[in-house]
Amino acid sequence: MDDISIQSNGRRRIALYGKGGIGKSTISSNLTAALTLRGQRVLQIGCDPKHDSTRLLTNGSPPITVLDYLRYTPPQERRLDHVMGTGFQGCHCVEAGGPEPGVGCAGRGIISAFDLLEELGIEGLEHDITIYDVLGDVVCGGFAVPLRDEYADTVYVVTSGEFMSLYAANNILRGVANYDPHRIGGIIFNSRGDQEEEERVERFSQAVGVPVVASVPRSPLFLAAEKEGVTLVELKPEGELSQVFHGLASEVLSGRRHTAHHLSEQDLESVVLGISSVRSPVKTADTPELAHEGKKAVLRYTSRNVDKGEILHGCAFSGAAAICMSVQDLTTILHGPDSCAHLAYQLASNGVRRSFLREGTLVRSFLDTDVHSTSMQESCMVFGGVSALQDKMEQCINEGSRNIAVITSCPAGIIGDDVVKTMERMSLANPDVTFIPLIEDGNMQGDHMQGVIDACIGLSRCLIEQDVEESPEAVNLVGIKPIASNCHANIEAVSRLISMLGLQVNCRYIGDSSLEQIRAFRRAPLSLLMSTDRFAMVLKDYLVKEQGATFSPLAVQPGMRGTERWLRCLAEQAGITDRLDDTMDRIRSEYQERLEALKPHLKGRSVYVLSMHKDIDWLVDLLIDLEVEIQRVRVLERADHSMDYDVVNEHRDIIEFESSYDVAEVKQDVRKHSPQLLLTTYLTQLDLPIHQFKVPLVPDLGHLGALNMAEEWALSLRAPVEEGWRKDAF
Amino acid sequence: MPSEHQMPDGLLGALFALEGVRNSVTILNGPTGCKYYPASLSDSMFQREISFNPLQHVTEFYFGQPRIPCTYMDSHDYIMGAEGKLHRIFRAVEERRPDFIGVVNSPGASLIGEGLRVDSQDIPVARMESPGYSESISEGYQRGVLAILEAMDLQPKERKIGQVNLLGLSIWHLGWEDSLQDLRHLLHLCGLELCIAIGAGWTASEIRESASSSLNVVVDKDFCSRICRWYEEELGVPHVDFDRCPLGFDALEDWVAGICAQLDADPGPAMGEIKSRRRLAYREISRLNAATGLPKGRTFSVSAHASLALPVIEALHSYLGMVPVAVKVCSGDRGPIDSYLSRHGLTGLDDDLMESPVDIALADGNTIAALMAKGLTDNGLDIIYPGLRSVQLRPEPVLGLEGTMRLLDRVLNSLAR
Repeated sequence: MDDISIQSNGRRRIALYGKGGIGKSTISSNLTAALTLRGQRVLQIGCDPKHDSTRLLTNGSPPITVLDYLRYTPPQERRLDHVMGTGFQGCHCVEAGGPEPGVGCAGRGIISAFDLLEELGIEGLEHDITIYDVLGDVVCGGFAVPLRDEYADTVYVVTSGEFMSLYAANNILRGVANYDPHRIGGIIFNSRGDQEEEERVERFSQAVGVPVVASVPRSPLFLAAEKEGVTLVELKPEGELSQVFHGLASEVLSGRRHTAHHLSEQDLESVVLGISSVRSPVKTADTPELAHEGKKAVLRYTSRNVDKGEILHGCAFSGAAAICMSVQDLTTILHGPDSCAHLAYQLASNGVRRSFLREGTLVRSFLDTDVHSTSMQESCMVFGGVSALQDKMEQCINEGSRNIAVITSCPAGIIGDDVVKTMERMSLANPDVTFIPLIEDGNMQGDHMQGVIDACIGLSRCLIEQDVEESPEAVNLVGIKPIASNCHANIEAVSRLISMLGLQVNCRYIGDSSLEQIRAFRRAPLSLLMSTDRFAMVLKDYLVKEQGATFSPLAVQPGMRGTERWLRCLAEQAGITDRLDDTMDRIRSEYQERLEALKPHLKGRSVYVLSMHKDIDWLVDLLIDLEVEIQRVRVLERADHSMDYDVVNEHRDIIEFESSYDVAEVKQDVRKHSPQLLLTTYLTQLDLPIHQFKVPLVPDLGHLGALNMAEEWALSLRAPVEEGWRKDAF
Repeated sequence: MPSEHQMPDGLLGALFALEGVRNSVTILNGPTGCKYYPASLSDSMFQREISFNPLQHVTEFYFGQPRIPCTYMDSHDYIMGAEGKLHRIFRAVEERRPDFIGVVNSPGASLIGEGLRVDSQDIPVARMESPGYSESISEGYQRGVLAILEAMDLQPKERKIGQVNLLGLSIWHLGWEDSLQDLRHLLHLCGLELCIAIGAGWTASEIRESASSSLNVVVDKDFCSRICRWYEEELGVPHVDFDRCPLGFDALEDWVAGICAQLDADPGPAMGEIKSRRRLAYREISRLNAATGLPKGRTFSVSAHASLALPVIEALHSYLGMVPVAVKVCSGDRGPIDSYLSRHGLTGLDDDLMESPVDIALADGNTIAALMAKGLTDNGLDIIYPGLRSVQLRPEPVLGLEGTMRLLDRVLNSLAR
């Protein structure tokens, strides 16, 4: 038998696999107890939906399952100690949990649970040994998660001598061989009391080349311990049976490992039935590899939907795709079925097409988007999709791609494709290529906005260069919205104002940017937020914490007053207040001139505002400047990505905030007030002659942005209040 | 390479098949990310609502859109299943009393084995547990139509003389309602009074009635070969097959002649109308040609599914004398196209429109916009979805006699500018 010594850094992670009901939890718990009695710091993680793996270690009170916790606790409130209990002799206990039998996907549950534990920093704890107690067979990618390199370094197979149990054991060996065949610790024989089973297990052991490292006899003492809610090792520490687990503990600590071979079904039957026609086991190859590094908790930057546990609007996959597709020189691979690629591509490109055909503006990278789909098919869903991904990456590299982002869809996440590992392997083979994994798993990481945030941060973590010479005149614009139809106009307006102060835009972060701009982010000593919505604020939080960015204290604001404020603030921060007076004089003059031209048309007109956007101080400012008669300003507070931040309005005396919206009541109230102008987010059919105008969700920026809109009102007032077509609603 | 993602796949095909039934509701058991775009597309391709105000569709499952309510699956549902939500949405939809309900799993829902265990006592329900992964839109569409037919439990009926079914049009086809009207008009001239459009705007009673048609007529082969086979095997309705859509004078005449031969109908009046349009086209083209030499030798590129790309190539190459430079076949059997091209010595054509400058590109609106932005063409004609126009007040059939005149008119005017 092959015998491979473990090259451990002192920390061990082992997984116990076996057929359902074979006694893995009992063996795991007793092993944990035996190890803790030797002074080992042990963490046991139960990976079974019935979440009773650690019951005997915690006197029958295992901790809340990770999946229940994930479901009911907002991201910012999550803490590792909430899901990690303390049991016998101070061992730590975690239960992954899972769905009711016959519904959902337990495998996906394990993936989610492991992701959360990693996010909460479980790898940073000082455990000598982690034991994964895994349900049943390696039936899908989810159940294979503990087999991955970053988890279990050694796998023990628990089996009885029954055929189905050995069948499952053989499948487990096959599953291990798919990852790293040299990680088998041995077979743990849990006897059912059948007279011939020991021989069957021994024959199987010989045939697959894996030794039996412990034989646990059948005994009523196990039942007695279970009734007490404790392990046998705790109940009878000196007993004969406890010595079996102490022996197993010694074996685990020895770090001995063996190479996994597995048998064909025909050979397995021969072996188990005792017919001596054992053929050569299916060989596996490659050198063993083991490299664990303690990992720190990963900082998570979340969208509002994710943070507040709201219904998810759109998916993170498409949000990440929209950002990646807007970056020039970046190859984007969408790992999923074609429908996911199509939806993400159309969502982004339809808006871009419209803005190009209407206004002639274009996000340059959409011109010839370098985006590919792995076109996952049924076979990928069954056998995994990493080879399709690898093929696509190789194809892109052969065609000249040197910067590749991979975004994962729901199916890729559900089947548990190890995309990060695959990209790491590709990276070793292609050191001149930058690989950027964006593991969104469709909407499993969150909504569209979460994907946008993740992509911005993911790209930055991989691309932003640390040693870049600063240019004092350079400013980054942070929080670009590349699929908004006024994206270009807003960048241009802000760039013009900045240039009046003698500054230049360094990086448009991230939208319509080049990779070079992102790499050189640190060239600008100062960054400017393009809005104060959650998206922009989260990016700011990340850039300050992880990239050491300095921000101008005020974000870009729409309207004249807002523009004056953020420009002044920027000048002070950049130490160029001497250039401010000229700039202010110029923009005030431009504003005033156009305002005065509008007043004869709008002054004294009655206005009613119905907005779904909360940040409308700029609109109220404009209405005041125009000296219109403001009847009501009503704002519906929506919980979605377009209204995902808490604005402190200065015009709280004028604006009325409402949490629900009754269309009939609103119409009735508008009729009652009978305004001359109705400014509303969505135009509606009213049986009244009222001029209706749209309040944009993403307002035009700059000191003239709001005035552009008012000029449209003034012009439209020369049109009939009720157009002829409205009379044809039959 | 945008054209790689221009064609929707099987999930959208399935949804559009179910959405093609009038007064129906299609439920998507999946996340909102799979709902927004198809729902928006369905609403714009088959308009059933006047208002665009999302606040009028704020009820749970609709998310501000009138079409395709969904169970808004999230990561928890992928582990625990979404059966409870599916039952709630189904009850809510049932209360609206549609004539038909379709239920489709998203790829993720399908993967975790969501069972779609919902049913109604008096409303037919079609369930599609697998939306198909990366299969073509035409495959998904056909599976959708077959799910409808199975749900309606059609039985063989006595044949009605003069009643035919038109197969292969979906609500995804650009200008489908206008194309349908045009084709119906031609068949009407042949004495065929009643034409049921299978899969595109049909009613529940038309679905039942389709079993008594005397012939299934193929309009777009890529979208109906399996449906034809089903009608033949289950209900004994024969079909008349065409490799290419009825677009271009030659293809159109073949189409009319083929149908009339099967039914012993008189093609004369329809042929006469086509001939009169040929005369009109001749007059215009000959004047243009005499003055400018156009359109001979001008270049074009095409991106579409096979059964539509073929008649476009034939009409522009054989009839107008233009030269194809790039041909992208998004789905379907490109064999007849390759055969046509090699017969005419047109080998080695690029299959990537993004590399080839042309006088006019015939594709979807997004590809055309990208080609124009990149300076590869100044002219484009949209022949598949998404189109270039946001508002359409005039009939704009892509297929049929008026579709042929649209094709010629737009191509010639582009070149003559």
